[in-house]
Amino acid sequence: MTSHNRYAILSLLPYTIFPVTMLVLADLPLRVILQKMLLAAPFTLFVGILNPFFDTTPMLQLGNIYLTGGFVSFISIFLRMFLCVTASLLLIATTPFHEICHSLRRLGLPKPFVIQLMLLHRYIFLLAEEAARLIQARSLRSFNGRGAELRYFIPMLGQLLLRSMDRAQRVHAAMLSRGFTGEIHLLRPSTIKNTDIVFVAAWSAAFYLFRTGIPSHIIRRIGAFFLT
Amino acid sequence: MSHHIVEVKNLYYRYTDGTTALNGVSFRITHGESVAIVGANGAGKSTMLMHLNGYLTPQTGEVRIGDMPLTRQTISHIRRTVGMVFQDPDDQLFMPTVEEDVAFGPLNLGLPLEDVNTRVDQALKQVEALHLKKRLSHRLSGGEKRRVAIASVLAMEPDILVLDEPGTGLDPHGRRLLIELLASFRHTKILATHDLDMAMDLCERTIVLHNGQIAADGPTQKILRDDELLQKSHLERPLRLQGYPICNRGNT
Ligand SMILES: Nc1ncnc2c1ncn2[C@@H]1O[C@H](COP(=O)(O)OP(=O)(O)O)[C@@H](O)[C@H]1O
Ligand SMILES: [Mg+2]
Repeated sequence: MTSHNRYAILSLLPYTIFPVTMLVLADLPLRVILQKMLLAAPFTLFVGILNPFFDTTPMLQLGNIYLTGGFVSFISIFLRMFLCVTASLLLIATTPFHEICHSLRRLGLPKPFVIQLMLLHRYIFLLAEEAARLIQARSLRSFNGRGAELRYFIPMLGQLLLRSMDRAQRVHAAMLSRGFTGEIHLLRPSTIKNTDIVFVAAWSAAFYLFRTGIPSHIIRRIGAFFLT
Repeated sequence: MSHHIVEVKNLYYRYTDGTTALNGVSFRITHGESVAIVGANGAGKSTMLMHLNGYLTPQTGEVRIGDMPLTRQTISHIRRTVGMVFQDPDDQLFMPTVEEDVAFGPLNLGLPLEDVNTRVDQALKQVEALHLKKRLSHRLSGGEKRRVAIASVLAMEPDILVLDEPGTGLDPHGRRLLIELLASFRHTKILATHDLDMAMDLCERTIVLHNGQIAADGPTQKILRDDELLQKSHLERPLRLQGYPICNRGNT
């Protein structure tokens, strides 16, 4: 995707087939995906917003409207954002986190990192709960916003850290008592099936085709046909 | 089968902040016994149990499992013999899925993959949780977490089961199921609890800990009727023994 030039719009369009098909196949709630995407939108906005002002060479003619180069690259950036964000969201939504971890392991990521990721994902919910409990305990005893100042926030963070360290110690104890000797052996729950290979091969072929620019060339032809 | 014997001699333990948690504890538990260690919060129960599988090493005194004293050389063997179920199942279920978690111990033992799989299935079946196999650990309910935590220890096929406050966080029904489950195990059992009703249901023998010392050691029925002893150790008679007709109904 990054290999397309910065004014590319048409040649990026075919790629949208991927998220759209996946959305339909996996039967995901469209609203949730769009909501998550809105979170990423502001960042892209800041990256691209100034382009239309800096780059004012006319680039594209749609009927009798001229689009400047800046505007085109702005749209291009937005399209890229859309593709990247949907692709990552789809990965997260269709694949359990631990399977992503296992895949990372098979892709050659060192085991300690993978284990770290797994444990992080396992305990981040508990950490959030613990933090929420602390905050609740504080707000139940603070009146008119008193006690909510920054100077109380820091000991609370410290408290959270201490609790996490205690938990880490208990988890370590639990690991040791089940024969942990510094090495975590992973079960390999998922194996690659033939359908997976077909899936990867088909999409790779599609992406390669998109990259050659043939589909976008066809779109351009069709577009030109209607605009003139 | 002398290797199921647990023997603690004159154990002292002081935490780095100066708290003396164990102040001279001795007892001997023989094969097949089921023993409750009761005591108020902070009495030293958890500290005591932590010694039994070598997470804490005795500062003075001795721990023997079977014929072996607990030392650096014997520790891995002892950890295989003594299965420890921790108080908070969240501490124990650290792998993403139930299956991986139960497999963690057997994999550490270096068993081949098929054996690991049979052990996982067996252990989960024993706690009636086979249907949870593919589930994510952090999405389980309290009772399910507890059962899986017990399965993860059973998968190691220990001779001695040590449980720290196994009733914590369970509703009355879950607690009842747990008691039935534990009663069905034929291991040597040591359980720390302040749920004296549970102690009555599961253990013929009770050891009362108070301020890091043994206040009493004897038959559960006798100890839990000794009001003076219970009061001294900041404990209360189990509801069932408090002599209210409504609590006694159906239990005797
Ligand atoms: N990690 C620790 N550091 C310092 N003191 C501790 C620690 N853990 C427990 N203690 C203290 O040791 C005593 C015994 O605690 P514990 O064995 O957890 O009791 P119980 O399990 O019976 O509630 C308590 O006074 C407790 O405050
Ligand atoms: Mg305790």
